[in-house]
Amino acid sequence: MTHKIDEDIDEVRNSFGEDMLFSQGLKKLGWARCMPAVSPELPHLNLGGDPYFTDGLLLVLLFDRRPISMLEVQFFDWEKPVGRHM
Amino acid sequence: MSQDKEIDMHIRLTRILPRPVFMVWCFLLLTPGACATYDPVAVDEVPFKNHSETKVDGNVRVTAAVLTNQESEQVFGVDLALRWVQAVWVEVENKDSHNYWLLSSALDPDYYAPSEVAYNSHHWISPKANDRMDDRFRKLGFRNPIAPGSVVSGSILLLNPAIL
Repeated sequence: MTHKIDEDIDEVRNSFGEDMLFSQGLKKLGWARCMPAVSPELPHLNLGGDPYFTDGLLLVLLFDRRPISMLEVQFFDWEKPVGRHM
Repeated sequence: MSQDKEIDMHIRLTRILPRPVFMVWCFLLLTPGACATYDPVAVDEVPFKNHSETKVDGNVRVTAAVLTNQESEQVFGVDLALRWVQAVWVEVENKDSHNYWLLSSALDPDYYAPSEVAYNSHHWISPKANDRMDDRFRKLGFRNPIAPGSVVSGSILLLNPAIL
């Protein structure tokens, strides 16, 4: 079983990370390789047949029980998503 | 298709559809608008950076420009103002030793994902143009994080305050 998804799953992933930063429970975050990158030109399909593409990185979030200011959140020194230029 | 068959098809369609609907249907099929093109202007050819503003805080430089309606239409290839969307271009240079993250939702809670605005701007029956539009919006969007020693730039799409 699955559901309809946005094909740009990295955008959704990072938006979720932003929401978690606002929760003030996030202690540390980073990206880890979980699969090869999938380009928008050759998207893969999920079980529901919906296309998706990704840089192949998983967002890892480490939470704490105490409130943490956004300024204190740290990054794991793992993989780094590629930024963009316009 | 022979002329007789064409006439027969025409009669069948006019029987199925009321005449005004049939005429609109034919117009849509025959006009170039039915195969809409998507031709945005190259970003470097749109001078929005000329009216940008820059602020430096420690090892971080932020430059931002609010695109005019004309500039955003050129860059994105669609009339964003018509969709109540304001494009803001942001460039961040990180000379620090750790990552930074630009919080779009902190810039404005009424922030739209690029793919959302692209979908809302899709042409009718123009899948190829729509694919190019999706790709264009995706590439123009600001993408976190801003790694040490890097410069990241892109657009953030917000609800246009002029309509409020």
